[in-house]
Amino acid sequence: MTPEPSESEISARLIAFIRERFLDGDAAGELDETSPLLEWGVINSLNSVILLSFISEEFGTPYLLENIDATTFKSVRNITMMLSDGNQRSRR
Amino acid sequence: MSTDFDVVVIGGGPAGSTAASYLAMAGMSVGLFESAIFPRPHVGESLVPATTPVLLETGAIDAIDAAGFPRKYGAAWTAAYSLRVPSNGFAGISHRLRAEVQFVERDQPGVDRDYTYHVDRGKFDLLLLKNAEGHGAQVFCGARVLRVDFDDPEIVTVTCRLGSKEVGFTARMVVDASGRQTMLGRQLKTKVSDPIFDQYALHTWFEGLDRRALATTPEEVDFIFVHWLPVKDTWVWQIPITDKITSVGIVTQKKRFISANSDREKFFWEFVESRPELNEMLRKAKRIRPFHAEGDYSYAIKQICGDRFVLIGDAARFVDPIFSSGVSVALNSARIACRDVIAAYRGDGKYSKASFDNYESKLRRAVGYWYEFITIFYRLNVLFTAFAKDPRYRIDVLRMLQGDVYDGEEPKALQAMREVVAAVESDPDHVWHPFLGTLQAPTAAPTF
Repeated sequence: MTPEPSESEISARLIAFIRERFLDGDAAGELDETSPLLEWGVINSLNSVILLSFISEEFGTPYLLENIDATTFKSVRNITMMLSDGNQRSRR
Repeated sequence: MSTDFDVVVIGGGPAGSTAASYLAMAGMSVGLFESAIFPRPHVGESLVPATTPVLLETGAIDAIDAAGFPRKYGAAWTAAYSLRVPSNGFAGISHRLRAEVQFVERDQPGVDRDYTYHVDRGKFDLLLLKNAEGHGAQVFCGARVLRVDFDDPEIVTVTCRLGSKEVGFTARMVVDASGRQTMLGRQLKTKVSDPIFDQYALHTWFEGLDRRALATTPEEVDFIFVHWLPVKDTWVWQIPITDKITSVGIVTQKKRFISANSDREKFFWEFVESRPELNEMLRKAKRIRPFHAEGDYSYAIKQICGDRFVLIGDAARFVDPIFSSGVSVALNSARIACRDVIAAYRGDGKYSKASFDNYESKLRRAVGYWYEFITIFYRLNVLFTAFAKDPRYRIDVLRMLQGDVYDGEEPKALQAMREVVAAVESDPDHVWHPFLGTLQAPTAAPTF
């Protein structure tokens, strides 16, 4: 089994995906872990599903769809927390 | 009192011919009246594996296997969106979303193979009708049933139009398998149209469509494809009919067609153009049938059985074509109803409403699952792909897609989907809230 990715690794991969797919590369380098994704309109209802699809391909599905709420996509940090919580839960 | 038949079956589609087969096999005398002359074209070309046990029981499977219909091993969904990104105004990145399932992933009771079929309904329906005739049912084609008289408590009289004459036939009971014509639903005024979920389908056949174009693996080429259009609650089916022919249909809200105020062909291409890769695939193929429209098919019937009658298949209920459930509901409702009919025949011979209790409760349950699954599908839209991909729900979603809804517990995926929809609906800040906002779902829940 491949070792589970660390939080910083998850976070880095999420940022890379969001930059490439939703921000046309983010040439200005504005996106970081705490950027307000929803407020900025980077994440919306449609591309959140695309992001989830990426997450399940990259990390399996260490989240429960039922647990996704208004705060989940607030920032990369929040998404990372959801995923690492899920990883810990599935280990238990 | 002697009657012409023990039972009259109205309609010779998959529901009617399956019922006629079961009843004739049980030794009953069966008269089946079909208004069309077979073969005739029909929509609803993709089967689900829940049809297999019924085809095995009625003995129709050998003819179906020999007919050379394309095998259906699974289903795939595709979506694509161009998203506008606010930070630098760039638009036009195409995002693709997809999911697929294969029937082989889940064993299904009574199903001896990991595929089902896509069928030319003209040929398929004729094979089933011949099978019924082979079991001893008397089949009358070109005979439209006009009304059923229930006044006599012992018999029913079915009046048919045969050529220029009206002719009456008597039986102990009647099975209404008249399809979306809903013969008894109309006569008894028990049909309720769904006022919100008023779907509309526009479909045709293409020759030379390259089914590899939107498939990612060779296995997927003969899957059914559901392509979402970036138009709310609108999708396109792609169903293989032969090596060369592919059925394609658009399903949308009827009001979109009406407000578009264009002819069928223009409407079809306008909608298809919203998915460039789909448009390209279709433009390279040749359309070989006129566009055919289906509307007014979202309805419920308040009473699916009564003294001396049962309703099966589309005559009892149809919601939406999204999960290819039509033929499966036809065959399985026939199977389950006929158990009760045969028990009544071998028992007191009264065919009272109470004789059909088992059928009513089983069908209510199954149709309830379908209904909710379809409702939630339209509420979730592309989020549905997240469920299909999630290992926790995948097998359960597959169970619904196999049509395995008549026995056993409620599919767990339904509960999970219900919770997600409820959570999103109750939270205006939820990232998916705007997404649900404008989607329309059926409101006419099963009422029988």
